[in-house]
Amino acid sequence: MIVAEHLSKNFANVHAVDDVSLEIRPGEIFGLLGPNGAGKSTTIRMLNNIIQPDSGTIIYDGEPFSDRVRGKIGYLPEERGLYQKARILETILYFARLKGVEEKVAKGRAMSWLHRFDLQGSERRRVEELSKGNQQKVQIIIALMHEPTYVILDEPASGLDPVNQELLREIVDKLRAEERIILYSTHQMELAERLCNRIVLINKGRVVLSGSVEEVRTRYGANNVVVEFQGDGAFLGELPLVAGGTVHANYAELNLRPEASINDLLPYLTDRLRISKIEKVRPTLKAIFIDTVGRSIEEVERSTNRTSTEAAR
Amino acid sequence: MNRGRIWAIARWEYLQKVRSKGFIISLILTPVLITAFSVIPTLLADQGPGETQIVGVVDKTGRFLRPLKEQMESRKLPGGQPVYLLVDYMMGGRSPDSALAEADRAALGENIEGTLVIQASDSLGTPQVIYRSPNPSNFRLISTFESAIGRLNTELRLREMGVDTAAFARITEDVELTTVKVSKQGEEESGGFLATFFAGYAGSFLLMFLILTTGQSLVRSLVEEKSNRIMELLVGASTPQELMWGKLMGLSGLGLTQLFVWGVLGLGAITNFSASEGVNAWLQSLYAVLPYILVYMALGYVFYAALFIGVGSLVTTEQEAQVATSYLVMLLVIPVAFAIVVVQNPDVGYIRVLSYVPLFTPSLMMIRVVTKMPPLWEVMATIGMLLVSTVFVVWAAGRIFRTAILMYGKRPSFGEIMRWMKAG
Repeated sequence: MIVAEHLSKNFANVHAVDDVSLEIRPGEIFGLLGPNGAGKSTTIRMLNNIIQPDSGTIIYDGEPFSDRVRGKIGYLPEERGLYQKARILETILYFARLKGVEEKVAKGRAMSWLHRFDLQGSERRRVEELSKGNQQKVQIIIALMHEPTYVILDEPASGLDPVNQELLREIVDKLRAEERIILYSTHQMELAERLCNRIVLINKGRVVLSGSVEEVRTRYGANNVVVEFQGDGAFLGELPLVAGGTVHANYAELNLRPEASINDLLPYLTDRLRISKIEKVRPTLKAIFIDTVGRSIEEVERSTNRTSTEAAR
Repeated sequence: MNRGRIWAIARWEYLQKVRSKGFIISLILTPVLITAFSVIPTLLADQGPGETQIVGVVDKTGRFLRPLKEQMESRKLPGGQPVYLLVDYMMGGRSPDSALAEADRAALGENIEGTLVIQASDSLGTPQVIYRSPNPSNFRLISTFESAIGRLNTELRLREMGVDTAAFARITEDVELTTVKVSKQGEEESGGFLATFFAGYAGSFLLMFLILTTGQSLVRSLVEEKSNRIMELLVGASTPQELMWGKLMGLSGLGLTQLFVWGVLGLGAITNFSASEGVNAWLQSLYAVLPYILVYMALGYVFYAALFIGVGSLVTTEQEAQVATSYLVMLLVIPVAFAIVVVQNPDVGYIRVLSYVPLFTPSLMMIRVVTKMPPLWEVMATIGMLLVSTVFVVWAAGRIFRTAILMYGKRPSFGEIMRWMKAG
């Protein structure tokens, strides 16, 4: 279990991370969610001991960070890079050696991983000869080669095609089944919703939501409505009884004000839209995310209007 | 620090670079270029013309043509043909002016190299010689004729005065000067001063090339690691201190490899091509100072390598890397430019003072120990000074490195760098 308490980190005058606490338990996938610049990467770097927090503590299975702990962390950074001129197998073996894996063991594992990712026969090729997606597979292999207890994955799925995303999901599921401690950082809310047991959503360095996915969805708002329609639904966001939400071309997820109900909403819709479905739902993580980080429907609208007028000019 | 990881990093740095095309090229090309620059022009300049050159003569005095022709045409090329063929343009009683006009035409038509016009200039009969040619800068031809005519003139005069020319030849025999280096050990070395000098000069040159090639590849790889974000993986798997020491070791291995290959090549070349006594004596004298040279070279190498690591960790783009390394390289070139002064006067005050500046110590002292061994205390003091500065630079580079490697994009200010160094 990783227990991080009251982590704070300032850069110059910016509170990159401000009093963040998390607890990642074995056998679960812990989602670290948040918009760009929220402080996710800084949090992850502190968990990796790449940078030290200004205040707060991190305890790994009861002990503070040490060289032993370092060897048990598997890390896939968000911004990925490999030595472009180096060969694939030797790159994997180099990082395995840094993690203290014996050469013989490492070789066997590397080959079976390459096979699993459909990269067999590429071990002598140079990294630069691989596509971006395949380079990413190599990095996933590097992160998992030493069979780490603590697995920290920063946006692992981005850049992978659907087939490999599915493969990645299987691998992560298997790691969970093996009772490893997994931190999964992502923007992809649908994925987080399906994959993660518990999440923490941070914004501007602070925790804004945390708990199990079910809990968060229930707690956040029981008053969400999904409308499927035909017609121009742009006005939906401006209705007085709508507190927030997202409007798409023929689909809207609206967060109604606490006192409002579907019955109150219906009269506004019937004469302006052809409704094919209206349903009360628990909000999706995506809806919660957008709502929480402050991009209300108005803001979305305004920015789309602005770009369209700019484009028209 | 984890030794296994330092070793792994050193091994990786070494193997990746030693197999790179750039390294292999510089390994082979550097000695080739040094040889080319130092030896080939001398060889070429020493070689006479490859084929017979025809030179026109308009001798208004009428006294020089015959003996000059005789003398010059007796010089033979390896094939047996004469080096110079002289053509008399005044043959058949032609006037000097028309002879000159025709000779110039021939020269422009590239039938002859040029024309020597010999005319009396004063009442004593000292000739004035003019060389007219489309290519009047053929210095070899000019100096050959100049000395030949000068000698002929002396001979003619002496004959007029009734002096025996055989006696003259004996009188004007050349004197040869050889140098002997006297040292404290009481040995007399006759290896020739230039050879000794070259050893020191080559040492500082070699150091410069070593640092140049390995330093630049180090900075480039740091930039790659930063811009590719490989750094994130590396510092996740090891500590910055381990990373720096690993790189320093890998780099030193690279330097040693280069030095070894060049050393073997160099000594092989020397012993193979000229196994003379002079060379042996020279090698003996070189072995006597070799330990000092190696100490200065090793310390100097680590000193500069650490400087490169410190500076390299601060830059983020290839362009910045270019600028930063070229400044460092300039620091290296300064003492090499001083070399000629040092050789002529190794004890002069400011050279002795500059020898304590760690940036210059290795190069200056390497030249000093081979030209004139400085007092032992001076050698020890400069080594001590260099050692202390090297330890300091490695320490400071480590401080800068551990913070700078995780900074992407923004370049730190000088004040910030100072703060990193002070921070525990």
